[in-house]
Amino acid sequence: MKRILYVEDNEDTADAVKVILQKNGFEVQVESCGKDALNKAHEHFDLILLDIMLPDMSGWDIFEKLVRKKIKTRYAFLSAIPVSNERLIELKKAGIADYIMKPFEKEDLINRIKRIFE
Amino acid sequence: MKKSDSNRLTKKQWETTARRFYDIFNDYVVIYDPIDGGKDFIIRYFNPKAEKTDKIKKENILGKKVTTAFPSVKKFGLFNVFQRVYKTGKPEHFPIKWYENNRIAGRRDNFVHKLPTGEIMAIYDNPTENKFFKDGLKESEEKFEAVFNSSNDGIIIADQRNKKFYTGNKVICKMLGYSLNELKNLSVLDIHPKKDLPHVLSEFKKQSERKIDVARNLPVKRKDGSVFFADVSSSPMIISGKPYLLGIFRDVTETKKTEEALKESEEKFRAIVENATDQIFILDKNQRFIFMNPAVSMLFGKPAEKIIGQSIYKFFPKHIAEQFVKLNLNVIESGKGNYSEQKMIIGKHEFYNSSQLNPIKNKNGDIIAVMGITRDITERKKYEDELKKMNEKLKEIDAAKTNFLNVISHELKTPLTAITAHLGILDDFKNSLEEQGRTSLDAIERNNQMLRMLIDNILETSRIEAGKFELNYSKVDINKVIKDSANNLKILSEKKGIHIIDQTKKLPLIDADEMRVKEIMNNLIENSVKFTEKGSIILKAKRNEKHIQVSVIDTGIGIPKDKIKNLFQKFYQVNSSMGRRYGGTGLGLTITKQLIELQGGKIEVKSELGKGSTFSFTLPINNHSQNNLKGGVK
Repeated sequence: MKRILYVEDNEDTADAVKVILQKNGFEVQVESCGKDALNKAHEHFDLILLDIMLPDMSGWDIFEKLVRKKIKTRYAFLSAIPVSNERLIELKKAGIADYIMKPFEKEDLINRIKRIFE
Repeated sequence: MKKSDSNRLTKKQWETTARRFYDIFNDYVVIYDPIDGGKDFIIRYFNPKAEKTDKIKKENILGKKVTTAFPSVKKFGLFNVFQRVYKTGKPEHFPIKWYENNRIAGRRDNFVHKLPTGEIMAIYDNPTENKFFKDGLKESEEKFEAVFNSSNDGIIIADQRNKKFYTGNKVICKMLGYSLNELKNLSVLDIHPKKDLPHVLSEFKKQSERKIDVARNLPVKRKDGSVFFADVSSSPMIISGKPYLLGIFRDVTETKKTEEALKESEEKFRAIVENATDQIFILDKNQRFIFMNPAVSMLFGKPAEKIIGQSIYKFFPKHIAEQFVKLNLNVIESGKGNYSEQKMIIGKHEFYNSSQLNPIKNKNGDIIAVMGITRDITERKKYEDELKKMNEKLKEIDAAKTNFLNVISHELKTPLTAITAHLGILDDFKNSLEEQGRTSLDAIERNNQMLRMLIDNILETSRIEAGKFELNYSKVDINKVIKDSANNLKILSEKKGIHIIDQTKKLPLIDADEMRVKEIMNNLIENSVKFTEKGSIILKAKRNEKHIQVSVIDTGIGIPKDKIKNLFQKFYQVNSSMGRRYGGTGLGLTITKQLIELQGGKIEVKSELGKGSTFSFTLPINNHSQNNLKGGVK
């Protein structure tokens, strides 16, 4: 079973995403701030799914810190902040597997998470 | 003045012409250069005739003193004549004869003149050679003619005593409009306007006395009575013992006009400089004023005579004067002009100044001074500062606007994300709900969808208006986009029994943002489907020179003429009941229009109430402005 760490400060969204992904065969752990996420990341995860606007640091900061700590896993963003095509290319080059826009359709979310593992 | 000089007859030019005549003279011509204020004379020129007759080699005597080369000049008294002519400038006739055994052995007529160069010319006529004269003259005349006619100036020869013309070249005939034969019957008095004769004759007199080199701007009368102006220079010559005057005429009518125009324009420039509010001045290499206009006096509050010749250190505090001197020295050293702006203080008066400095060069290209134009730019500086501040403020507002859009987009979407995600979960339990529960869930889903679309549209149009919208250009296959859009909306349209008919012609690829073109097509077709109850929707596309034109033609309810212009306004509905009946965010057409215009195109609507509407838009095939579009959302 693939293990996913989902970093999200909105409890309602976090709950829903957790339920949807668990129903589709993923194990999901949720953290609500950057500090906790950094600690938790040491346990092995197959994907770290990051919101961007978090209370203590940005999803991007978490990503950079974890890369520097040589945490080997997959990374994706799940955010309401629009992103330009240029920026998207940069992100993919840096090692971001996907950037999923909020709000998302359930089916779309499931398909894209599955695709990350293909 | 410089320009007109090139057309003027210079002293050197007429001398060259004259010397070509001396070369073919039948008389001896020798030219002497006075030294030590006329104490002696160096032999400078010797014509071939003199060379031949006196059996002297030119190279042996040229450059030698006359008293050394021909000691006899003193004996005959000719030397005194040279000195006298040199002093007075008046030509003299000095016949000499010499005796052998109490009989006259030889005779020689001497004509001595002072040339404009200060040189002394002696013409010797030898009557003892008269027996050869006729042949000589004939030969000489032929040579004359050759020289005459090769000259660009008018040349005329007149008898010095009665002023009658002896001969002239083709150019002078053309200038005056007479044939040579007619000219030979005229005298100097006939070719100048009567009223100007006293002036003309006095000019000639001055010339013969060597007071002037060339008589300038003499009025000359043509055969037809018209008058032109010529520079005339004359030099004496002897033909068969008789004194003649050789006159060289150059038409300077055009030059004179140019000079007058130049004078006029000089006056104009002077007026401009005098009246300029800018300070215009020239400083020499020692930073002293050598020229200035009244504006400089005004600035310093001192009359011109107290400024001219003074160093600029006298008028400014030391540190400002030094600043100026540094700029001037830079111009002098680099030879290049310089523009600068500086804060100035004169007494208690503080102001900003612009100064343009340029080097002034002499004929050799050496920089001899610096010309400056300075201007009080205090007012302009003030506006510039204000503008700068305003720009900074605008940048701040702009940044705030971008930030606001990002924040609002995040804040609106966060709850929407939670709602949408939970609706997704609820959907799995739909079948276990009672009918009312299912109906309610559908209503929530529908309205959630609507809310999402509305927020997306508001953010999109706000971004376009804020100039924060990014287009991603590529080569777009418009035929494919139209086909895809038609397919996407097929289910929706066929539910209403409406057919979408694609009649587009094959079009070239265009420079556009594919996503946005899809959005445009979807919006327009969806709009047509929404307002059409029966009939069909026809899609047409064609090429219009540099654009493609796409039309969506429906058989819908149509739009009243007076409402068409409002169609693209935000949240506009043709009548208020429509919103409820047809739904939509009220932003679809606004965004469609914005997206078309953003990509360099135009949209147009034709409609007939009850019959249908046609929405047509254009897009450029080659969009060269694509690189200059505003940077988008990052």
